[in-house]
Amino acid sequence: MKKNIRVMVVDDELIVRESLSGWLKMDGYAVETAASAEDALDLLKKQRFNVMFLDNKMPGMDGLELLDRLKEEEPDMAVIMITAYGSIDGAIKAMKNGAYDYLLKPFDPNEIGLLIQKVIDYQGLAEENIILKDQIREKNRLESLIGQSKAMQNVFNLILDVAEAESNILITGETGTGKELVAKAIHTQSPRAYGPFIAVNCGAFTEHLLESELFGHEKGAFTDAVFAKKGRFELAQGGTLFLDEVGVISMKMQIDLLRVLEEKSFYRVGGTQPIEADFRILSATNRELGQAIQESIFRQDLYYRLNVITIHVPPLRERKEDIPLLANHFLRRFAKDLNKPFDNISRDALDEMMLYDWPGNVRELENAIERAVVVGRGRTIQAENLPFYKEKPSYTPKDGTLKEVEKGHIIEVLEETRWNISKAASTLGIDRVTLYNRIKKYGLKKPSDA
Amino acid sequence: MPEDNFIGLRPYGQIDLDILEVLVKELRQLFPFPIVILEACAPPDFAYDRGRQQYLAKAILNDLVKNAPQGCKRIAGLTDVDLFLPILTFVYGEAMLPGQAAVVSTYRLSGKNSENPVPFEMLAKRVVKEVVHELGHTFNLVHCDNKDCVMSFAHELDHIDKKAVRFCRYCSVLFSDALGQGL
Repeated sequence: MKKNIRVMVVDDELIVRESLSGWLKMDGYAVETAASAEDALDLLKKQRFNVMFLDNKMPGMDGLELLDRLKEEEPDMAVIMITAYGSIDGAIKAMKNGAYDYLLKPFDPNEIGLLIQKVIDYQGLAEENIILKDQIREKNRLESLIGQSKAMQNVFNLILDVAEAESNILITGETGTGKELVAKAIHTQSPRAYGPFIAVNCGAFTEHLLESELFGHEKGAFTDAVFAKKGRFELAQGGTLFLDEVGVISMKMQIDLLRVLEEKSFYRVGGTQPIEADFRILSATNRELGQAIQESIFRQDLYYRLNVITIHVPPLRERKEDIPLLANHFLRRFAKDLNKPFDNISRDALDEMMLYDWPGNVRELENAIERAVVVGRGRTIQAENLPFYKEKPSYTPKDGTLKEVEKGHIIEVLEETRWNISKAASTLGIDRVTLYNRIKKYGLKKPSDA
Repeated sequence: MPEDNFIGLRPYGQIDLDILEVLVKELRQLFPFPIVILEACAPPDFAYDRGRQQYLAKAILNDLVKNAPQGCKRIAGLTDVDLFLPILTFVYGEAMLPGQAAVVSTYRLSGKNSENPVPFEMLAKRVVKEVVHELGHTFNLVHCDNKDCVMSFAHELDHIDKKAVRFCRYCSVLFSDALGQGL
């Protein structure tokens, strides 16, 4: 149930590692162990952890030294020091140096679970805060779903095709590609358009909060349930429920969701009256759910229920022809919002944007334009206003094979045209997109503007 | 004794036969396997830790697996000694997650460590809940947040008394999944 919470146990004693990790696994946590501080650092290079149990005294780098390193490298991870009677001074020093808490060996069995729960609740609140802020920023950005590319046209066509149906749809795509916008578009094109569109970011809630958020609760259902509250299932009645980051929901919630989908009804937490589930579910994930199924952290039966139809939103690097359209759209919006006179993007800046890979996708492009509008001067966005812009070294062509001759010729033409992509493409007799693909294929970099 | 796929109960030392009979009856309600009382072993002196003056639960698990009869799908040991894990002050029971063996002690469940020994019916219920809980772990079930579920983690005797002798509906689904996966 808590497989999403990763815990590392660092102790040089095998018996402590084994018994603590065994106990934590019974409590449902995903646990890894390390026999030394050095091994722990190696593990941290491969994956992130929420909590670390760290032995104070170890040969080599000791617990306090590792704690110092972690403060800089893993500030979000909570470190709980494990200490023996007689070493409490060290534990107190560790607390002063940023450890979350300490435990004296042997522990009372109740202590560990309560302590981890406290850490997770705290981390959950911090994350929820960040996500809520993001959600406010994300509000009303439907316009980001812009694109003339074939890839986006396919998405738009698919949206129109599936909107009329009642089928559940899984929207996949990297972060920042606009999965929620696709969901909103499906909703607004569907017969449920007059009903509500209710979105839930499943990753923003702890398991308990998500249950209450989705199902609602009756007064007195649990300690904090002072009033009865409608859940998102009820709020979405007659409309569409969008479950974002569905890949992170707990096994328990997966079982509950499956039941709602199968029985078309649900109960509020603490409730005895069934409520009809009259909503369509659209869900989204940036996780590879096939792999999650193999790892037994996502149920296959639920996957098939949610994924009647898949819509994949392509990353921006696969639809670069949409960049000028999107960039100009964002430019107009931010120029207006920030009261700046920008109305143009320079050829150089546009070329830089076309050559960049955009790992954060449309959201990153939007942020880049916002930054450029904030820091730039005049009416035109310049390449140096872009956050990823760097001076680049020149490239010397080699000749020999057909490929190298082609590469050399492209470089020559680019240099002749001073990297004016349109002119170079025209000289080479190919279109701009083909030229960009060749530039990427051969790893060509624009020389510095000097 | 059935030839295959049975759950064996192995007493270490003196365990009240009446408790074993209650256990067999209750386990039959929850697990779709024959339940068999195995021959009793001597008290688990091999697991005794002088420093802690308690018995190492892991050592008993290893012993149970080593001496499990052929065809025994799961084996649950029962003992009246005080069990511990190196990092914990004590445990009522311990199990392999997932795995073949589980062990439960009546030491604290019976109130033997205090001045308030409990009546037979109460002890029998506690033992049943703890054995079901530990056997649940051997089928890869982890602790459940539902306080009524037998898989909820109970550190206080009071909680053991309050929780039910059954899996909640989530744990029932996960238990069925485990059986379906051949665990």
